[in-house]
Amino acid sequence: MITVALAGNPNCGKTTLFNALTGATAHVGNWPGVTVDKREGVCKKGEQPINVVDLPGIYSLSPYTPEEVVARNYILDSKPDCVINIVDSTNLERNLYLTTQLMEMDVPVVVALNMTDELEKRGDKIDSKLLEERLGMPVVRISAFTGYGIKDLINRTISTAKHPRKGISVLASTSISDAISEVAERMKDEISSPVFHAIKLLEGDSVERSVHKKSASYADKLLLTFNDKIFGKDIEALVANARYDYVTANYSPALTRKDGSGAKLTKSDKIDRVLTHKVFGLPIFALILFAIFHLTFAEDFLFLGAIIPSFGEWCGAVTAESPALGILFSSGLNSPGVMLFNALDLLTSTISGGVAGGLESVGAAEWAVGLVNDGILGGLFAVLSFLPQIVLLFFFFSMLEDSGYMARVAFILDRIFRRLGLSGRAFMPMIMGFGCSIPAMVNTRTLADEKERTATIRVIPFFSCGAKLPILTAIAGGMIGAFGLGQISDLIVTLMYILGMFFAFVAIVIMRSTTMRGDITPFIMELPDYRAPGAKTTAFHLWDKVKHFIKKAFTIILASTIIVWFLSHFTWNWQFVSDEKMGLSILSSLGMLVQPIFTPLGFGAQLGSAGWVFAVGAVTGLIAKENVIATLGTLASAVVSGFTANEALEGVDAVEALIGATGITGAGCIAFIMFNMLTIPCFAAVAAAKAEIPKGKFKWTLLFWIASSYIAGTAIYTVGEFIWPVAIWLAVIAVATAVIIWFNKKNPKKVLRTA
Amino acid sequence: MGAIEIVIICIAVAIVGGVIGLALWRKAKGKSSFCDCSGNCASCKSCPSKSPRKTK
Repeated sequence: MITVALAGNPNCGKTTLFNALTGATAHVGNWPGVTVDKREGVCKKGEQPINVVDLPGIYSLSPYTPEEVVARNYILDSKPDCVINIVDSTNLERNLYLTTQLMEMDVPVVVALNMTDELEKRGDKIDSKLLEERLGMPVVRISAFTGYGIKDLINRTISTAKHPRKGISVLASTSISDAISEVAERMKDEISSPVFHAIKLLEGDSVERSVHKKSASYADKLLLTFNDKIFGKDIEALVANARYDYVTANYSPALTRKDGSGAKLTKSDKIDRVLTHKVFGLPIFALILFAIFHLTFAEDFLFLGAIIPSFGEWCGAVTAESPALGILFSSGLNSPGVMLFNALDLLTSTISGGVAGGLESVGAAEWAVGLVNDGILGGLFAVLSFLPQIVLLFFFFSMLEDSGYMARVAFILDRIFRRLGLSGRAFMPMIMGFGCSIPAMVNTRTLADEKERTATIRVIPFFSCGAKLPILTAIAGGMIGAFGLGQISDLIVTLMYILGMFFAFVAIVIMRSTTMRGDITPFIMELPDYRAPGAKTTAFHLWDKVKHFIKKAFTIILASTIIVWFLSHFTWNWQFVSDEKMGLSILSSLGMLVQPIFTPLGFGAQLGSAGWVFAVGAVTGLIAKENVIATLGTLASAVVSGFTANEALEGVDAVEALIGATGITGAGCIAFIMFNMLTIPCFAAVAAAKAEIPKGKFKWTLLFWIASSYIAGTAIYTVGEFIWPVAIWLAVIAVATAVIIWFNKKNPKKVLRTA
Repeated sequence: MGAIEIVIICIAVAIVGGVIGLALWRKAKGKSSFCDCSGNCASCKSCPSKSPRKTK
């Protein structure tokens, strides 16, 4: 089976092509740097199967970034049979810069002109025949998104891979050409791609020099007497300039632009004038975020019930009359997210009621009905009922990502991030953290500075992932019901997200001023054109999320709820206890043991006899965050007298009942949310962090998560509950700031490089 | 204890045992992924690996 590598600039469509070739569903996004490592798949669409390797996006084959090292090492060391160089037709000249470097390697190359449909929409044209003649390599017009030209690309790749190719250089007419030939001649017997290695050695490439020491000193000797008229001894600049000159002179004629299109503002440019505006850019982003949360969580859509009181009253009346109409209305018109939530809730209630009735009719014992209804279905449905809102939320995030807007937000936030000690590049992993911490942590590989990367990984769990959404929604909904706060659950959820981000930024400032001091790498990100999100890509994104959630629900969460039910209904002597005597259970005694730890956070010893449920929920959340609400759902029907199993089907009702039974305050509820948001993430995320963080720093990372969540929870509870501790916290902040300033003055940073 | 109760207990034990057993088995086997994605494979249907290599 032949092996083909996909190489090209960031965001030129490599992963889209990889998916089109292999039928895979790897994550694609409209921003540079989605792929940080290579991935493999098999294409079975041609006359013979092809092993396809998707490489991260690169601008050059110089080892400036980890992605460039990965791509370069793969092509040089693994020696694929052919390289498909994906070229973004809408940025032809810049993309061909990499092509001129691939040409220097002893590997067959096929150039795939991607996004030709977009180019033609603009009115521009590429003469692919002329380009093929000038490059001396096959050129195929494709659209990885629509599938146009893929068959042709596969066939030409298979035929090209059969003919070995020797590397050639486009630097023949430059002043350095003689030196290149001499070094290449010397290396040709030792290694393949001698032309490529020779150029890199003359450029002073650190990786090449450490591997080919003898040839490096030979190159140094040649350069002793070398002095270019313009670039002097700066060979790297000379080579880069010569490549661009060559591309402009030889390949650009293949591109015919529509008259005046170069000078005109594109549609993307016009949109950017508003969305990336210096003053309005950030408020627009905040407004978009609120709109998303409003569409997902609001029970008074567009505030119609509040604006038109008669409509609000009518909604309340029809909801009380008919449960089916309760799907559409509450105190106003429900948002689409709430409608879906209510619809699923109605379905799960019916299922649970049917199962309970069925078990009772066949004469099942009370404990067996309890295990199935409260233990299994109660916990499971408490989590599953949030699935529609999770899907809707990620639908909107996926839209923003695929449209290219998220790349703009990284650009807008770079100014702020730089003040915090990070580059704007760190924004993309953080935003990915809203989906799942694991891929977000892996994506931090795009950050060059190790300390910046470690600091970013540590705060990624603070960006509330999909698994934490049920905690936010259920507690917010429960608080509204228990404290009569009105329909503001969307506002509470939005504020919780913002609070999580606030703590992330505070933690970043502290880390980057103390233990994680380091360089801020310059932020250069190509802003992709705005594109209409594809239905297929969006469907893949959502399916990935749904599949992951359902898989967890029917494995870890299901098993956990059974264990929780078992521990809450058996004593240390293996005696079954009914709901009324749950205080004697194993879980109760363990819960009461850890409960005092959470006293400063408002859900510890100050709560009533059933207060241990919140402590148990927080502990079970360490396995998977969905467990928190699943646990509360399972325990509510047992702990709260008069609370029946059917009511426990959704987390909101369970939390509301527990708030009433335990006497937890509003500040305690917020502290509970914040503790779960900031503390050690789920097992899988901890494993990902361990793999990505340097060895010695992992145990400190665990400590950091515990300390951050505990301190933040304590601050929220004490300030929210008593007000006067504000003075203490302000004093603590003042002392901490003074210590940091003093520490930094005593230990000045050796190198500070800013862009 | 009737047949219904025994079936319910068996299912509950099978779920808990299955999940814990699978987790232990995966732990013993080591993280496996073909493409160095640390097991976060985005449902790559065409992964050519019959027995994925260990990355750790």
